[in-house]
Amino acid sequence: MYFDYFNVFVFLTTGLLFVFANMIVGGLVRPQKPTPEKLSPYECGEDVIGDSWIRFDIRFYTTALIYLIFAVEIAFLFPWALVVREIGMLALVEGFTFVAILLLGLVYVWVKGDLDWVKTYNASVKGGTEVEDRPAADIHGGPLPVELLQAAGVGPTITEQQTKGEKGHS
Amino acid sequence: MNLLREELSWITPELCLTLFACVALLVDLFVQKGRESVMVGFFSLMGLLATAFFLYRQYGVTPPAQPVFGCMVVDPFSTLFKLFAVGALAFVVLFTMLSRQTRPDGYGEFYFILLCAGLGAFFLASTYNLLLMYLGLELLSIASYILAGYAKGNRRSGEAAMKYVIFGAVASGVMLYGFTLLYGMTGSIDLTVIGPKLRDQFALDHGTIPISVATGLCLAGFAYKISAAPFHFWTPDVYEGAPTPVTTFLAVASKGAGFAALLRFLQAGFIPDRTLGGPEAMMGYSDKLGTLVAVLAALTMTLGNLAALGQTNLKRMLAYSSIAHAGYVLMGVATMNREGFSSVLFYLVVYYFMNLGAFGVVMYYANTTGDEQIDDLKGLGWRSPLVAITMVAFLVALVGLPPTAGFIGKWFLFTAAVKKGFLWLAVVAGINSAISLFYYFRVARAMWLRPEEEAKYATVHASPAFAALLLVLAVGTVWFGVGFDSLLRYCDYSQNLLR
Amino acid sequence: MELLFFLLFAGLAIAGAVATVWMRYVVHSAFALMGTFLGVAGLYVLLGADFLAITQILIYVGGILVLILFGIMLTPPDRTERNAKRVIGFSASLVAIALFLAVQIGSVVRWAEKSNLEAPKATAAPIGRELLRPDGYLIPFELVSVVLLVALIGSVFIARRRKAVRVDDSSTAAILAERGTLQQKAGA
Repeated sequence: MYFDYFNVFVFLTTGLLFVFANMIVGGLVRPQKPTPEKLSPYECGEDVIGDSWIRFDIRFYTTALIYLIFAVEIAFLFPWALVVREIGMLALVEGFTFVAILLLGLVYVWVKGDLDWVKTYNASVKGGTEVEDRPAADIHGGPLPVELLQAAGVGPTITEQQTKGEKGHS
Repeated sequence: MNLLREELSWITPELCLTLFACVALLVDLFVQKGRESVMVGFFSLMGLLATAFFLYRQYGVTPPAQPVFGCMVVDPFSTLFKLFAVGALAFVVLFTMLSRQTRPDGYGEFYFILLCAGLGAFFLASTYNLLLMYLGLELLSIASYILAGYAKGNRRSGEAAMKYVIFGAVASGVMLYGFTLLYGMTGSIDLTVIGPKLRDQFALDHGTIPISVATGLCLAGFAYKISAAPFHFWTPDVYEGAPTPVTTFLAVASKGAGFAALLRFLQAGFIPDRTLGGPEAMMGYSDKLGTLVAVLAALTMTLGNLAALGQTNLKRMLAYSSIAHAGYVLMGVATMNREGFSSVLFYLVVYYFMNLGAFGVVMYYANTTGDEQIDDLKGLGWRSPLVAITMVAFLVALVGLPPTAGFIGKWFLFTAAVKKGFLWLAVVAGINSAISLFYYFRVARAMWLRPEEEAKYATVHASPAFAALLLVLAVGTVWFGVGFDSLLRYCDYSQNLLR
Repeated sequence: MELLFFLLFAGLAIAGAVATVWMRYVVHSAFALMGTFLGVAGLYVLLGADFLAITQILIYVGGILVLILFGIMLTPPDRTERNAKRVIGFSASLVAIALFLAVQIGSVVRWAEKSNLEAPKATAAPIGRELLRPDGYLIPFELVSVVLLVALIGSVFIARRRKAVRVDDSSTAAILAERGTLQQKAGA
């Protein structure tokens, strides 16, 4: 029985060898003359500002969550797919019910705007612009400090309020 | 195909609830913004009503036990629990719609998650299959975690959710380990098969240690769900931090479902059965288990009551009181016999009424004053007499004094325990009831006996809808104290299935 | 041969677990956890549960680990070394391990020798048949989708930012322009 898995093992070992053998051989062979530029994270003229330990945007997390849920779904659908032909109509109905219920989750995150990566600035609210997210987001998706905004004359008018129904776009 | 259709007809309540939950989600998504919460609320109520209707149709005609789809069972026991889960859910939905703490906007998903939590309770109450039991428990738990953290602006709500998740994950992990040990010993995850197989294990001279370890781990999971000591630590923080309607749900529906699963678990595996060789086949294990539960019961009620004495926050006090009540109910579980189990069912029904009522009053009070401190209840009796009077009824029932249902419920529990030989436990419970008088009385005194000029808040009358809800609950609390015959008979009848 | 592979996978799992607890930085711990997941997957293969092994890799390594890493990146950086309560933590974990072993020896080992339960041949197709058979695990199968749905909606709801910010009388263009200048300032 284990013979079936032997090729998997060979495959794995080959893959690992390819990665690590190259790294080790490279490490032994290459000359080592470090300079400050070479040690910087990006050796391309771009100076690093701040810290690599920035807090990531929560959207990454949300996306990973959604992915995880659907990965679990796939795990359940795999055995289903193997026997659906054998069992027939009943299995088909069962499988589609399963997917349909989970599809509701996809509809939910879609309609509520959790899949929108770039939050649109929404001008439909009277008397101002409702920004879904935060007053301004820098290109990396991180927040700009309030002091900077205030210095630019945007800050003091910021009022926090509860999102109405938390709908992404209406 | 006909067989399939017949089996489907047995699970109409579950199907109905699922369908309504899913459609409620869609209604929330696609109805005009700003009005969706109210609409979804009413829609959920409709769904609960429909579910209750299907359940009621099963109420009379159920044969002693109808196996459905291989791993579910429909019987009077599960129907009783489902009916009360639906009732409790309906009250929670109404509370949510009336509460200010649960703001109207952004509460569309709330109902969906609430209905799904109810679905989890349904499956938990009607299965002998460990896998389905675990799934039901997880559905109920996951939904509860989210509900507890639903008030996202509120720091304490977030803290409550976080604590609940961590404790809950550990507890379900422990329970799952217990399940796997049972599976390893017997080769089955069906409790009706595990029961007889366990007798074989006893006979095989393996001693009781392996079984004790497995059962102990499972019991730990159940004890967590019903907040029995020593797994009760999460209760006060979660109950206090969660929005009040959610607290009501946790204290009533969630705890009830936990007891339902616990009773099934013990009954299928660990109650001596004549056809399976009687108590001898269990090597006295059943009684040992009963004693263990009895010790847990005494511990739980004592801890709960003593801690409740010092509380100043009404919700926190009720949380400890609900721990204490879990202890009283465990007293009936400890008897490990039919009479004890029916008294458990009876007490749970009574518990539904009085706790729904008490939390309802807390919610009304927090609505009008934004406060949950006991001392600030001062003069409530003069400001809103109706609310205060119903609250007194609930408190009297919680203490267990006549003529309320609380008295009758406790009476049955006490007699069941004494008959089984747990006289010491009954004495402990009696002392505990006396202790509980102090802290319940403090609430009543704050409402009635303080002079009016100390009252900080203006008179706010309960809205007619709310007053009606409280009256229904209060009438139930008192009525079951007098006309308890039919309920008792049903509780006893529902034990039929329990072999 | 089988023993060799068992030792390999079990060693990987245990070493990963120890490293997870031992590493100084949380990120390193998360990567060490991958070793544990892979080792456990290998053990599943040795037990004949190939579907479970694949699921383990797909979901735990591919999903949950990524989620954990994002979770770590979401938390504010904390570079305090985690050795403050090392002694307590070490003794606590020793006690936990001892307890676990006691449970295993007390329960599993005692009956595992005597019972002659057959190991299930758990490949994907039989699992599928069991999941779809009406008198099998049809209800749990469908219930799983509801559980997943609740988990999805609940976690997305909780993870969603709760506040929106309204900026009065500034048009979108103004904000965007402002951002541009601000970024230049920040860069300078």
